[in-house]
Amino acid sequence: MDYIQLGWGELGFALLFMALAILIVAFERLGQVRSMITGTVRAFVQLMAVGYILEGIFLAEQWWVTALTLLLMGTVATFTAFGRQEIRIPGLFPLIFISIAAGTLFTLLPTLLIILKLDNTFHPQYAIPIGSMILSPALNAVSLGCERMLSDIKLRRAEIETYLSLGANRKQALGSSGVAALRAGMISYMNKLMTLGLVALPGMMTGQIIAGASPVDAVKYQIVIMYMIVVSAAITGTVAIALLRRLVINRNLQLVRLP
Amino acid sequence: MLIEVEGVSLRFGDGRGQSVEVLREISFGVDRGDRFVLIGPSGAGKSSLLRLINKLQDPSGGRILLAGEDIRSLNVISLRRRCAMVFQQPVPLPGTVETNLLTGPRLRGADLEAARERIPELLRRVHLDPSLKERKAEDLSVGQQHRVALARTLMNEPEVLLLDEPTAALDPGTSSAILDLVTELNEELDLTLIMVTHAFREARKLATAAGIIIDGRLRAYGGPEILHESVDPEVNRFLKEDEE
Repeated sequence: MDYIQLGWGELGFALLFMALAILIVAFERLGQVRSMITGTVRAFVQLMAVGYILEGIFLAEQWWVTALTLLLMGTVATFTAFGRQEIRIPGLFPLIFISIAAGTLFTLLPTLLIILKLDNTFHPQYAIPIGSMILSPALNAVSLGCERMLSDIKLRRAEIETYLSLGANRKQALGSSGVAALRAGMISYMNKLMTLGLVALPGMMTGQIIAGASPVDAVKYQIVIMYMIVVSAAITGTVAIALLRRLVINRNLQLVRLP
Repeated sequence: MLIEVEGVSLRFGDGRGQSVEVLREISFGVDRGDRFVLIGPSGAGKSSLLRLINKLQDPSGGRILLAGEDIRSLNVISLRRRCAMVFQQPVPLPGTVETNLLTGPRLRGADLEAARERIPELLRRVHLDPSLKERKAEDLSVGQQHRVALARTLMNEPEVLLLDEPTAALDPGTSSAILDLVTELNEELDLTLIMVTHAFREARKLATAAGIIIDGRLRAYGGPEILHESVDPEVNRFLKEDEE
């Protein structure tokens, strides 16, 4: 593949444009100056750090380094999803971790082993970028799914107990809460799937085209990734909802107290 | 005895590391066909006791027997069908009155056609016009929703009906009609009733047996006569408060 490499000078030129935009906003007194400066600095520092770390991981080319990196990313995703929850019940943190792990591994391993047919499954060049693209929808699905389901259960407490007292099992009693939760976790990805290529060209595809890949090859990759993103969101959301049902309604079919 | 409550206690955390005792060493029995009324001031633990019998919560101590069997060893779904609960606030489930009444049979995978045929008779039994079955349950008055909740519970053909303040927030006319209705159900269907209330007038009208709970303790238990006088000064004070 052939692509134009960027030097510090070119990066500085892009920064100059950012500074120009900040000056215009400041001149018009539109009040976004501080957050634009913070954002510019944070994006630079974070991405440069990630670039150097990834370069180290790529050079190491050890399966365990890649696996450890993915585990670390999964743990950060778990903390992020847990941090977004307003209603926290015992067992929610491991539930989020297990759901993310299930959704990510269920999609990442077949992608690496069967679709890309890698000899080294944990080849960092593929495992880490694809892993991160799959992890992001898993994080969103579990985060939005748990949030929606727990707030819905809190709201429907009397109705759910009515179902339980009439002889419902967990799934019957929670019914619509699970449906709403999966929908909340998946809706943005379903929308993306519907408008793929029509509204905007996806990032991975454009990246590959810039890096010299043929548009058709880039599209094939993008299709695979897009399907895997939806699969990851669906599996993570489904696992999270199934586990959450067991967490909020115990084995004696009693609805636990929600804080 | 159909139901035996033996030394039942209930404690739970108050969220600040302290434990709150809701029920303390409660023991009583209910015979088949009884109309057992549990009476006590608000916050005495009466509703919690009904929830324990319906296994919506577990006691911290003691045990509850249904027809001689510890309810812990019974399948919780079949227990809830045998000992059915009607909550203080009726919860209209989404959909029509008919959908509400079919909930129990649908949950247990019963023949819905056969269940549907029972609906007009059951609606008449709870003194509702059968034509209401097409109406949305949430559009009905609170009194009608109480009756729908009762009919919905009866679709499971329970042996015991646990009624949690069924007349709370109802006007005197509707309250009296609901009490007449549950008495009728008790007599005609041989349904055992355990009803929680804080109103002596209702308790005296309905009870064939009664218990008085104050601050989580069963202070008196026996026939309906205990609702008129007691040697326990605290119970007497409660009785007098009602008369005032």
